[in-house]
Amino acid sequence: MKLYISTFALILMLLMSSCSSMEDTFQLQKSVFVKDVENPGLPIYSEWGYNTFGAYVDRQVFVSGDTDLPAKIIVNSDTLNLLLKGNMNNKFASIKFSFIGYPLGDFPDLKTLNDSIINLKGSKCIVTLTRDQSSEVLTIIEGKFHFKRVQDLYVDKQYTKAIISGVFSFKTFFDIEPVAISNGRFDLGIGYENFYNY
Amino acid sequence: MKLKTAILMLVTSAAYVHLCAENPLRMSVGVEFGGNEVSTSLNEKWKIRQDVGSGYNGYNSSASSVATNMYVSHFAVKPEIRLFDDKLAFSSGLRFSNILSDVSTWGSQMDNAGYFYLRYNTSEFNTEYAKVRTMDESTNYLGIPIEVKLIPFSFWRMDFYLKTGVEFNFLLSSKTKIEFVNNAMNEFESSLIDNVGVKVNNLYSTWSTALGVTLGNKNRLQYNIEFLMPSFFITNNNSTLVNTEMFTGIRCSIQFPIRQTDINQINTK
Repeated sequence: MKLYISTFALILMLLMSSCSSMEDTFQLQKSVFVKDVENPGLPIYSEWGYNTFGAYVDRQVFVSGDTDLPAKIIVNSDTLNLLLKGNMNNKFASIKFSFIGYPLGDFPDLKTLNDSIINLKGSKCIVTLTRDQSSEVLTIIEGKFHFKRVQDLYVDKQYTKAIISGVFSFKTFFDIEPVAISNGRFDLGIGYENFYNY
Repeated sequence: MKLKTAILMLVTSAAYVHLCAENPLRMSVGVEFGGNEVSTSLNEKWKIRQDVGSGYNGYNSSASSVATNMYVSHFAVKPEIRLFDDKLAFSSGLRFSNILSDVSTWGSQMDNAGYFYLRYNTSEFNTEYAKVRTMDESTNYLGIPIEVKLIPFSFWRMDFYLKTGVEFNFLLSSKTKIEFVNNAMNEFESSLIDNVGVKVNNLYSTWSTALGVTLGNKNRLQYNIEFLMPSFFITNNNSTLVNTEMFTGIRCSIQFPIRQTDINQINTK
């Protein structure tokens, strides 16, 4: 009987501790959207893990929402895919940046990207746009993606996530029309729940 | 110019002496206590994740997910002089004020989980947050209030009045406390507060206006109750946690009369 009680108590404790850590992660997944008054519609450029991104697509905004997780990093072999999910013209849209030559093992390894600038026109980068339930690989006229700062996020002195923040801009074609994606900025917390390696 | 000022002062003094002779001074000592509720906002120097911007996107969350409070309670001993047939009164004395301010979560527990994230350290490669349940601060001041009371009309044993005044206070002590979710963080409390780098102002001054009523016989104990109209802080940083906007409140006091014979006895001595 004592064995049953102690086993039950142990299971209960384990459940409680796992709930607590899930709650921590959940709180940090939320987005803090601070409006940029100089660039209406976009979040400010920040470096605190606010889980937001935004860019102008000509005069429209492509910006993170508060329901979908705004970013995922998926590493396949030596390709790092950064998926940004949000809204463009009030409809769901996503842009995936595939950077070839970044075989990262887990999210703490993201620090190797600190202050790195990637030329989006190069052969080691593919940009894919998904909107209206169709995907297309964009032809890049010119553009850069700058990981300005990659940091470790500590909560109560415990390592919790990586924060990646930076800017991007590029010119491409939507159908046959050239468009500019400008003033792009992102501030994302990357942890267990949005980093994949398979 | 100096002559004109001297003549003006002489005439004013003469008028005052004449009026006082017609209407002898009435003195009393008041013991006052009261409390003020202050409208506040978070001091931006505390970087709280849920409250840094105009929007905090979580489900069912509000734009601002921490609540700030400030309450001032005070105790004073104030002699009062009444002039012009009790139509005007001046008072001053000593006032002790205790300012309590706090920052805590509000809204549903599901939304805030009963704590907030305080960003207390950033370096080139690290950002550090602490999970905090509440932050509170208690500050004590001692000072001098200077008040003028206008008593336009009386009814039965009630004097209705309008009072305005300022007070100048000096800091006695201040203590800021942080209640962490994780007890292991307690040892970092003081270094964390130092990192934020805000200090309580050594001076505390307000300007207030109140409407009140005095109850009781003029030659015996009198009771005052007054309601503060929206009033203002003259000084800033009287709490490191919150920014102050305006305050209202209530004051109660008991007025002990000093009889004319007592004043005469003091004068002859």
